[in-house]
Amino acid sequence: MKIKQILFPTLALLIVCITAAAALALTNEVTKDRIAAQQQQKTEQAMAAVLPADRYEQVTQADGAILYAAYQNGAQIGWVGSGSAKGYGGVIEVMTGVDLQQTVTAIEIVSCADETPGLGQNVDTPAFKQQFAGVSGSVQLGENIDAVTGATISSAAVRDAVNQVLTLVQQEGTQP
Amino acid sequence: MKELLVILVAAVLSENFVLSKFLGICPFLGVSKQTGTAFGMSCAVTFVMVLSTAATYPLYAWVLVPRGLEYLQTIVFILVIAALVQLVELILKKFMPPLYNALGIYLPLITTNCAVLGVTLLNFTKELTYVQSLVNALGAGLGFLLAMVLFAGVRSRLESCDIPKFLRGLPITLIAASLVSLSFLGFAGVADRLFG
Amino acid sequence: MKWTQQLTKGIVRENPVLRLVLGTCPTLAVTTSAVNGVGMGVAATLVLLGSNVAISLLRKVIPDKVRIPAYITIIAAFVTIIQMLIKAFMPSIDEALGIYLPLIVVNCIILGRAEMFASKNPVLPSALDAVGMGIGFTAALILMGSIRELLGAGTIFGLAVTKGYIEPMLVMILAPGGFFVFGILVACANRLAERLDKKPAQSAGCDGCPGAAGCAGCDNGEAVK
Repeated sequence: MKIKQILFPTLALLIVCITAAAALALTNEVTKDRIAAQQQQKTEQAMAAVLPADRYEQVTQADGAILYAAYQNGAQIGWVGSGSAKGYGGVIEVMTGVDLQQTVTAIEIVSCADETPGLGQNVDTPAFKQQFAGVSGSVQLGENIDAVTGATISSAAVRDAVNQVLTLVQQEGTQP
Repeated sequence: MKELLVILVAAVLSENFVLSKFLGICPFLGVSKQTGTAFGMSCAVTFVMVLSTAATYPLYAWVLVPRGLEYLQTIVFILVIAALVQLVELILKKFMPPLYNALGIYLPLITTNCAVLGVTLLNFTKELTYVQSLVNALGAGLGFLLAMVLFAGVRSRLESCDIPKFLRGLPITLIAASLVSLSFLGFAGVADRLFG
Repeated sequence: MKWTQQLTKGIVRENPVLRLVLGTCPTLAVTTSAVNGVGMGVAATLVLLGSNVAISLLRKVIPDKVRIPAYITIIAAFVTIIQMLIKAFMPSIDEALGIYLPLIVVNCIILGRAEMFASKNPVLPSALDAVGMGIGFTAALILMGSIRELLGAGTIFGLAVTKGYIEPMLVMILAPGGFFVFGILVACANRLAERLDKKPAQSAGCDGCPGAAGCAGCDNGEAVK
């Protein structure tokens, strides 16, 4: 009797857990390709927004930053790089386009969802992003870029992410 | 070391779980009527937060991720937290009765406290290491404690006030919470400046 | 109770947010804009519908002793499934809701309805109850999201309303604004209830929660052992 009292609830719970895990595995199987495709699409859209080109080819990566060479009609027209840095609430991902003169063409915020709405998320506004076009060398807050009001940490994260890419471009550009 | 201090101070003040992230609002509103209860409850929450971080982090990073089972995160975490809470309750009851009498009664209440599940999930959103996560959990718990105890004080003052009828009870409590939260807004960026 | 009542009670009379004061965490956290309110509301409604139906179907099979862990497992499974679907089809909503999407697991409304309603009623009423409560939750979130977005950013659903004429009060979409707007809304709901001779939602936190006994996040949760 006692064994039954323990065994039955345990068994019932176990069955619930197994069924739940199986349902999750099934849903994961169905959705994972689509989730990956969504992320891929997002990256491609950001790439096309910062430096339109026919073809992007990954050339190097370091510390989570990835650098792609951008080609138009077979000739290289610049680089596109995704960089990331820790902001206020989480990681901010930035896509940066760089031309052959190693000048930033444009930047696009890929994700800043963990930043504070109304403050940190304002890094994803045209007014802030447009400042980056034309910057070369490295980004300095207060010098060539003004931080978003009330969001110094988020702005600094975008700066770090862009500088990551610029450093990679410099390394790539000086190689023969 | 400096980095850990920044995480700790940020978790207590500028990223206070209750007042800036809205996690653990139910106990914040429900159990903050007396300072003593608020203190006991917060200590139990802090304890469970650190313990569940200690347990869930390795489980996710070293068991689920290598096997491509990230999607089991939520379900595994909540079950681990529930099991841990039960276990801690049993152990305290058996071996440390004084501590059980002080904290034990709050333990069953915190299984489904969103602050506990929240901290274990946030450790991964913020891409923290194991040690950083533990410090973050401790900070989150202490921040919860600070908010609860401070607010218990505010509420005891509310009791003796003449409040318009339609604001009595929950509405005025929420508005008072809004003002306390406003004061915590002033801590934004403090941790980085302090140690940076 | 007629089936229409099962459906409509959650929308106004027993509105989970403004009358029963449940699920306060997501209510405060994600209502920085009206769109987020819709996203959270719909996600929670789907989870609630799934868990209510599943728990109602299994109500005679699950032993009483392990019902809470079993409910939590079922709810967590539905939350994860919904999360994966949202990630696959509406990634922007997933980003906006962040960790509050998995945190639906510990939303008092869902465990509360499971314990109070679905575990005692057949499938159809449980499903209607879930839809009604879900609509009530969503409506409250949209209301709150719209107010905060209007005051804090000058827009509603992203459309400019007072933007450009009145400088928005940023604080309304920050944390203090959340508490403040919620406080005022509950006060209004209480005033309306008084007009209609109903009891105000006086209790803070979970005291007024019908699922208090089952919802371990609450003051009265001692019953859960």
